[in-house]
Amino acid sequence: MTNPLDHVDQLCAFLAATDIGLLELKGPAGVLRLRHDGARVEVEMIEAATAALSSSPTQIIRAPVPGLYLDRHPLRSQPSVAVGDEVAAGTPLAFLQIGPLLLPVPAPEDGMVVETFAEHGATVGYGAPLIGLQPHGSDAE
Amino acid sequence: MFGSVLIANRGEIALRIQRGCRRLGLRTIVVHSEADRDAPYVHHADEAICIGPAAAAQSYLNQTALLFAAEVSGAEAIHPGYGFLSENPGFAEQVEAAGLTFIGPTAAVMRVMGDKVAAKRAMRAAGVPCVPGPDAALGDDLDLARATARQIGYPVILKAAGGGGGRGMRMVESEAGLIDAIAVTREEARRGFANSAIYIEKFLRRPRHVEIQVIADTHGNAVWLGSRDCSLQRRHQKVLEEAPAPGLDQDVLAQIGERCAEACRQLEYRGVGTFEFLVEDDAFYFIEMNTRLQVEHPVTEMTAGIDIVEAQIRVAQGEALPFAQADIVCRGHAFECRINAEDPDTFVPSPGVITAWELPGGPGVRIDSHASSGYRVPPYYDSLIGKLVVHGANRAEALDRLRIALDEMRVEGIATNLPLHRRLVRDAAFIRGGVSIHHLEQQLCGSGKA
Repeated sequence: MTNPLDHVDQLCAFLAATDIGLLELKGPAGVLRLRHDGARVEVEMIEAATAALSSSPTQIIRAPVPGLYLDRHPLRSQPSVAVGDEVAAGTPLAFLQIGPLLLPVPAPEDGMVVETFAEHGATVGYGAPLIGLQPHGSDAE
Repeated sequence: MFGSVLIANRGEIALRIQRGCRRLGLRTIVVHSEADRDAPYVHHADEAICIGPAAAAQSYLNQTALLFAAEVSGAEAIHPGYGFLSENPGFAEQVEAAGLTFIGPTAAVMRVMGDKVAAKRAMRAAGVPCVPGPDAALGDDLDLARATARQIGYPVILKAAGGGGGRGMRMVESEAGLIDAIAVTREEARRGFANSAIYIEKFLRRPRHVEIQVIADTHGNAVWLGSRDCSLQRRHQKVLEEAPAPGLDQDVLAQIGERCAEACRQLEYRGVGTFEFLVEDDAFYFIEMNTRLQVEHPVTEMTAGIDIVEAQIRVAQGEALPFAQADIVCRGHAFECRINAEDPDTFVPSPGVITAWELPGGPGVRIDSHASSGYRVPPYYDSLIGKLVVHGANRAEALDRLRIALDEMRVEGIATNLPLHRRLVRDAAFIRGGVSIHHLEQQLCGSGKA
């Protein structure tokens, strides 16, 4: 298998002929991003080391199913988390209520809550951004 | 009674159902995949909920996500449209178990109609004609085989019970060739499918596809709304439909229509449905029943003067049909062209952004479409981007209007099958009417040698 980085020019030519706006290739060596704005193709390369550190910024936790967004457990009066809170992987950050069903939205990894997107009590669809989490780097690996 | 409807579908039919709901003052909830998020019809709904990623298996076919969306939106009914989950009895059951109304027949009826053998048995019981032939394999008694073939009437076709895909079949023109053909077909079946069982049925050389639209309420009333001819097909996909089916014996048609309505009453069918037939020499042979709204329902709406979607929702509300069979008349003639985002010669789908979208107009012209200029046709779904429906006082007038409408219509940015439709409406055999289901593939696609 050849390295895609050897074929950037060809990929750009292919992309220019389509109406695709963004082509992103992720590999162990890093990320290759080709942006096509209709006129020209812009190339961006991010090496793996950099990608792990600076460009893994906020992780957006999204709704996995449609539901009613609750920022707290129904038996609690305070939101489960607030911006600035440090949370451990597995901590329920919020809940989705679907009728009698209550689905926790857990933190996928250790990190700091940096943003909340949804209103308490709002209906959210699949993929709606709920919470922004700043992971605690990659020291585990 | 329900006051809100979740539309579990996408594209033109999601918009069509939305229009029907709005006419009835019902709140509409449209669910959509991530790929359909920006579609204009999604924004027209009272509420829009994303149910999953682009892939249909994770969105429009995701029963859990649909039921969750219904729960959180407070929907009281679900309209499945066509395709996707519209003929899934398990989904219908889940919807009803959740305390919602499924706008369609009961799961039990859907199960019967989904099973070819059970459906054929139910139709025979209701007096609806099926392809002649016994429901059992041919025995070793050759005299009996001769008698059976004679009773069916030549030509007949011998089929390997284990065969399929066009293999293991032999057509027999007359009794002289029957016994040899049985021996050869049996031997081929034994070698090819390790199963020497064969069966016999009537062979139809050049059948037409004719279907009957029915609607039934929950008060024991059922009527048929007319016939459609959908013979212009490619790989079993309908391309252009018309109502009524031209050149049929009206007495025969009325008899068949009444049998279909009677079958609905016997099955305690509710909602809209379509009985599909192969027709040859004015004889009808039942193939299957579709227990849902059809893509081509507008041609019947035009000729019967009935809003089928509205009527469908009303009977789901528990209302009695506002018309009886005697009130149903067929006025004029209607055609529908399915406009697909695909190459007109190779039929390869052509997704992408529509850069120009100019629609025809004038008397008798109707467009059912969710597309517009700037709309991106996603690559994940069926390539239908709209339906051009044309009505006229008679077939000739409707066809004239259709020709003009097709010439007026302009879609750019993507390839469409408009050129194929323009060729079709100038085809002498189609203009005469009554072509067989093989016509499109043999006469029109053959020239392009796709």
